[in-house]
Amino acid sequence: MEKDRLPKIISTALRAAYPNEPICLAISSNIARHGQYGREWLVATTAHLLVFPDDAATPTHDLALTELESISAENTVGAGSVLVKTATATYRIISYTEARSDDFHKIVDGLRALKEGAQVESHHTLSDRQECETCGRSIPKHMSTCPHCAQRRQILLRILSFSRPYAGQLALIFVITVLTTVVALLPPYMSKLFIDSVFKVDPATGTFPHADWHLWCVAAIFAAYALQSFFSGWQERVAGIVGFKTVYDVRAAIYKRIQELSLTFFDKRHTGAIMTRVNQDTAELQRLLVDFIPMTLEALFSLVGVGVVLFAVSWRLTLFVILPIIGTIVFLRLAVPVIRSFFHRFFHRRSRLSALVSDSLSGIRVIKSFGQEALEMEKFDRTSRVYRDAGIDLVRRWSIYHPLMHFMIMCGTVLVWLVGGRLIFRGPDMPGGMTIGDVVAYSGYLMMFYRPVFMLTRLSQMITNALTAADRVFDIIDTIPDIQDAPDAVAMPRVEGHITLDNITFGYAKHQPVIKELSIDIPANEMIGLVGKSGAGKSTLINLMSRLYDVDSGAIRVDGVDVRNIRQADLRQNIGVVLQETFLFSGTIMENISYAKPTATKDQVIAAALSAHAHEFIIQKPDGYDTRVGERGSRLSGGEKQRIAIARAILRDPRILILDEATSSVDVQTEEKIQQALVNLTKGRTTIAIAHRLATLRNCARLVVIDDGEVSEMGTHKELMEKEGAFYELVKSQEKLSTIVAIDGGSRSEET
Amino acid sequence: MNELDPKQVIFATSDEGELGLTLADGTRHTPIQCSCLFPLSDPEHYISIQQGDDKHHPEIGIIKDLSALLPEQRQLIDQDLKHQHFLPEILSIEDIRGLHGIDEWCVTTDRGPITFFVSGRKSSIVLTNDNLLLVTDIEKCRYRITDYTTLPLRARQMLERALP
Ligand SMILES: Nc1ncnc2c1ncn2[C@@H]1O[C@H](COP(=O)(O)OP(=O)(O)O)[C@@H](O)[C@H]1O
Ligand SMILES: [Mg+2]
Repeated sequence: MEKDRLPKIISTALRAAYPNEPICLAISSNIARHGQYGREWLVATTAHLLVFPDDAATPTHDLALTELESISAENTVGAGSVLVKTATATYRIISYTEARSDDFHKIVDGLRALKEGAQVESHHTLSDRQECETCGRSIPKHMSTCPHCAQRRQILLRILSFSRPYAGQLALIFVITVLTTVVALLPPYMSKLFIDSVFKVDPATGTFPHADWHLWCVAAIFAAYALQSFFSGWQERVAGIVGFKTVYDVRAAIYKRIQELSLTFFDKRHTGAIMTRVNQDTAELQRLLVDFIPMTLEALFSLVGVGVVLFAVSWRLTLFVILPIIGTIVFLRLAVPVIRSFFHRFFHRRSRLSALVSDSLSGIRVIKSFGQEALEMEKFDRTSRVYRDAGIDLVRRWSIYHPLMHFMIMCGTVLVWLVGGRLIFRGPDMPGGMTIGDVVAYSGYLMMFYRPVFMLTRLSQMITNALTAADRVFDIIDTIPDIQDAPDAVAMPRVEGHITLDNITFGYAKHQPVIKELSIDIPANEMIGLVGKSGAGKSTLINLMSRLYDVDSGAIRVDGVDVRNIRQADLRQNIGVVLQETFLFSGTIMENISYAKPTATKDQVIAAALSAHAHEFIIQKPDGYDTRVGERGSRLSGGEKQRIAIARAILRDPRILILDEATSSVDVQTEEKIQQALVNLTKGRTTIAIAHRLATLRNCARLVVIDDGEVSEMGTHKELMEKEGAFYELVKSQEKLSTIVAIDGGSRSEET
Repeated sequence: MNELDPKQVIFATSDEGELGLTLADGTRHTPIQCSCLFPLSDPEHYISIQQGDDKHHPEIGIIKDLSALLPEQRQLIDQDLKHQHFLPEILSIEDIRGLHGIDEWCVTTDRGPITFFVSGRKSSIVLTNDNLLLVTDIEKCRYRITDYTTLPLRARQMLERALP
């Protein structure tokens, strides 16, 4: 708790000023007086509220709790302040950034409790923010580990843990890698044998004393290359299989979690970003497992194996050859960050260009109808030019660095002939002297040595890429769904349909309630209409009833059971919804209607379509019920989509039917017909209907007028009209509007 | 649009520190709050002045150009905007340290030095066509760089590398 970290100078000053009042609350801010980053302390004793600059004994505010009329936490853009109101003025006593907003809202609740003379509860002071055990920094929200101290190794191990079921195959990869390296050492040694022995003329006799070795050596080289190919194929195969299997597991884990997550998760994230994670990030992981880990292993082995051989052949030469390698590594250390920044820029511009193209293609109708093709061309041109320039910049650098790097490496070979040549002149029998064969073999090994060196310089970059992907993947897998079945959730295969909203409060963002302490009781089998201005919270109420979100306080009960204690599957089974935004999957009309009940027969689907008055337009389509609706149903009109959505809900035959502006896009005549059909359908089930055109709600037993998240009126159509309140006003204004339409001679035709 | 003539209105702070406004016809509004209509693309123009004590913050009027105000008047508005809109401008980048998928940024802003973490997600660094860069850290705090091309080379390189 922050109270314990209050600077001594402040607590001493407090004790001097108010000796008999213990400190109840303390919190430090991260914005100081004039909007600069800094720290101030807000401290409350049992009777006073004080604000101190960090490490100063004089408070900037010193207010008695009794003189305060209200205390509130106000959110501004990116920051927030605590406001207190006295009889004479409002003071902004302390400010903090967005990151601390939750903490300060808690403190404000605590302050209010103090003002009322109540005790400070633990939930006023407890910060859910954890502190890192290693560095003491506070860990950002939504993160399980301290980003400052998080170990790459941990996350790498975690990826590998997905490979655990395949440990046997991984061990096999390891063994094959060792074998590959060993076999690869053979050919350069054979060249040495050829030069120094097989093709060596004995000066005394003028013959080749080791000519009989010839075929054996050729056979050995042949075998070495054959084995090498065999091993590399084998390794590729095993690594590939393990990689695909592992990534399959990871992908399944992500997708399962995505389906489990509640809507709050999707509200905060872009669908495209989530898709990226399922597709691209897992592919990145696959690259890590399939290509990168075996390649690194191999590189490490050859580095060690070949390094040992190099030293064995001639340690003197090796000392010289190491020089350009060290030089290269230093050069890479300096050049790689520069090059990498150019590469990054290049990729970034490229993805911006493709984003632009995909954006304008999906909006092509709008572009055409506004005749803005030229503007789009220009936008494209500008972005494309930036991309081109980034590419040119990159090539300019690359064309310098890359040959330079190559040259530095090749200097090693030059050194071999320079230094190695001198060692040859020394003669093979002198200490350190080499044969021609030694030097040839040596330069062969050197080539083998450079490849892994190159590889390993790219290691860090590759690890970073893969870890970034892994991080995003685990971010999803680790998210705990907000809405979960309670362990003791009851099974309710069939509900009666009595819904009670008991004093519920809810906001999509914390601290900004959209529904405020609202209570409604809906008896089973009643049809109730919700009306109110757009943005009043009607759709939100429906989301809460279907438990797409959980209420912040209060409770929603179905048949007297809190929805949080009903198995989600059962709850949803009993609810049929037609959402305000009709969503159809790309597929056929048949598939879309039967989505609500995959086991439905064709007869049932047609019956549902008939009741929803969808049948009449479906029969006009050449493909009938097999008509493909296009992406998100784009090949159907708004009214047609809505009628399919209604059919979908009807097919489910739910106990609770929810219609959120279900007929807003159909023409008046069709709406009339659907209404008639609904009269039959709504009999014997609880129905909640939201409608824009108030006339369509006349069948409702009761109407509830929602205003700004609260119930402002409730009663039958007749009662509310007689009351001449908010509902009356709404009806009157709609009538006026329809008269204007009538005078204009325009009939409402909304089939688009 | 109800444009307020900068020469006709008077902003003043009360003894309690509340910002108030007196219109040309003598009506007084206290407290008021200011908000910038184009906080990212054009922070110097189109400042909306609203009533501060009403829940819905009804608008009193719009000041089109801040520079038309007298310096001390302007300072009052700037002060309020600074509170209403907390979006530090990154002036220099000391270091961007790559960790796994999360970069630790050490920067100096117009509001002082600060260290924060940025995740490697696409949405966390947004570059508009006018070289304006918006950075959102993992706690949803935002930072801006008005024209990143004016940063020193080293800072720019670190930045390019951090671009998702
Ligand atoms: N997913 C969401 N995330 C954040 N705010 C939302 C979301 N959905 C709706 N809102 C906000 O909640 C309020 C009520 O919306 P809603 O219930 O859809 O109103 P309506 O009565 O028109 O159906 C509106 O201010 C809206 O902006
Ligand atoms: Mg709605």
